[in-house]
Amino acid sequence: MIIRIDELSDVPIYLQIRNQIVMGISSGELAGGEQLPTVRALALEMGINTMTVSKSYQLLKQEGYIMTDRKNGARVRTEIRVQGGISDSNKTELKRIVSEARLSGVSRQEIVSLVDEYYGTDDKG
Amino acid sequence: MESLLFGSFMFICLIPCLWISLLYLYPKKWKEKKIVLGVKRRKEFGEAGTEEKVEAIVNEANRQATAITLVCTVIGVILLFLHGFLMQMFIWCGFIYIALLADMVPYILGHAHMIALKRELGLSSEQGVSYVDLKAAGKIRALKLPAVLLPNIAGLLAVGVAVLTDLGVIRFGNMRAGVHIAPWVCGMFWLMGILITVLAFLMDNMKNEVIASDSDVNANFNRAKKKNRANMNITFLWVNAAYILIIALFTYSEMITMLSMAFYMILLLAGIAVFVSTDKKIEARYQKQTDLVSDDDECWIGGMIYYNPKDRRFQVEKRAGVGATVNLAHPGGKIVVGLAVLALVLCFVWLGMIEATPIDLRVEDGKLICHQLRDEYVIRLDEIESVSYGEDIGSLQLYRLAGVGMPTLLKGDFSAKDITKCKVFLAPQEGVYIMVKTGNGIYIVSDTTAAETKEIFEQIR
Repeated sequence: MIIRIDELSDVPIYLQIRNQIVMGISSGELAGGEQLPTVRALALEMGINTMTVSKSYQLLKQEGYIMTDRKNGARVRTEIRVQGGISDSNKTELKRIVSEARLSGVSRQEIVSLVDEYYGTDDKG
Repeated sequence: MESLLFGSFMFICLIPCLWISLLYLYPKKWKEKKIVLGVKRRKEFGEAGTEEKVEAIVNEANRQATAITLVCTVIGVILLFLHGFLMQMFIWCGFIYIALLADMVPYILGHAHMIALKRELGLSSEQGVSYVDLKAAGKIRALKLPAVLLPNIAGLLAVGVAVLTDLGVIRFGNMRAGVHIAPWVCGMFWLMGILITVLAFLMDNMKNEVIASDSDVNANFNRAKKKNRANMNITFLWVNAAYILIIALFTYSEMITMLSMAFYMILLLAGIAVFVSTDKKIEARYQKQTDLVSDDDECWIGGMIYYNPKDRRFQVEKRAGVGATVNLAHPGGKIVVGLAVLALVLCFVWLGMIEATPIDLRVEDGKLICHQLRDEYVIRLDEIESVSYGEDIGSLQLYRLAGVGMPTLLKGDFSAKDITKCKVFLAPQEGVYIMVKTGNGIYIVSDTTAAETKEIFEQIR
């Protein structure tokens, strides 16, 4: 799985890492139980501070996407905690994206088909 | 003979490098390369209208580089026939710097044209953007510790042989004890092996390149590249260890030392050639699978020097040439380059001071004092056993063991005809010398001019 880091982005690097790992898990690029690189290895590879990577992993762990232990490092959880709802911050983000798309002249159908594409054909709900 | 050997050695060091760099930096089949004159190849370069422009830039750079390489080769051949060892040495040193710089000029110009073309096409660099393959991060290593340790241990054993021979504990052929030159040279080359080891590990720990969205492709590509680098470094280490052993056993023979040095350089160059060839094959093999290009072309000054404040890595893979280079925007990179420049400047200042400061020979308070800069030999007149004056310095057959050997100054430990080791303090251009024998050793000295030397000789006698 490829992670794209943009140093000039407004989004902090730890969030960029977290977001892309979440997208990777959702798309199936990162399978359940799959080993993630150690904090040090990923920081070296990205040329960033280990604290930044550590912060991403902590966040992912808190949110229930990964599990960490001293012996095995970080792994993707085989069973992701199902909350059954969208968080308020994500709702706000979605609203912003839909609003921007509508102002740019994107049709409702186009947005829905994009959602279908990203969500996947097999409806997990 | 000595000057021809030296010239041949310098020729072997320089000219093949220029031809290899011509092939490597200025490839004719640019469409198959990942980097074109320090710029990452983009699919837009293959579009009608643009392709011709890129072709023209590459051909122009090729034409200029070929002309420069040919001229340098011809000059190199002419320099082989120069008479005089010192003359050869000075001209070759200057020529090497000029040739290496001249060889880069077409590349730098070509890079500037490519950047201008990118701007014309509206292709902007993605500064600050980098890709990382999560599956490969920290997992791909090709260097094995035992493979690196063994040649270093072998080299250390050879250093041990040199030290024991110098101490007279063991004896090989005509090796003489107490000369000190073999342990120093062997130790220096062994330290070079340690430096290669450090560089090998740094290269092995370098960030993996992300060339495709498929992690397996990235992993295989990086594994192949790192394996190639590791093989090159291990070969260098073994060649280095073998050379240390030769020096440890055969320092007494100038011919063997020179020939083994030439052979050492040939083997290193052959190692680089194999590495470059394999690297090219790997690049070509994965060219079709490359679908991801992170573009930081504008951070490469002249396509050769990397300066990217947004990149926090200390070292990156070179775009021109082989191996790795430092990020000049990184504090570590600044320190490394600063130290290298400082060392070079200090070296020139020091050489200038040695060249410009005349030697001083005087008799004072019953002592013969030889002084220049921080070096001073003091010989008590009552300790002198014999003293002689000579006017043919060439007949001494001086061979430097440690110290300074310049056209205007010979200073330090030398061996001479029938003398294992003596202290030398001479202005050789005058051709005259005073040989002083004391209970502590032999001194061969002179003042700045022949008249002054003669005057001092009369005073001592």
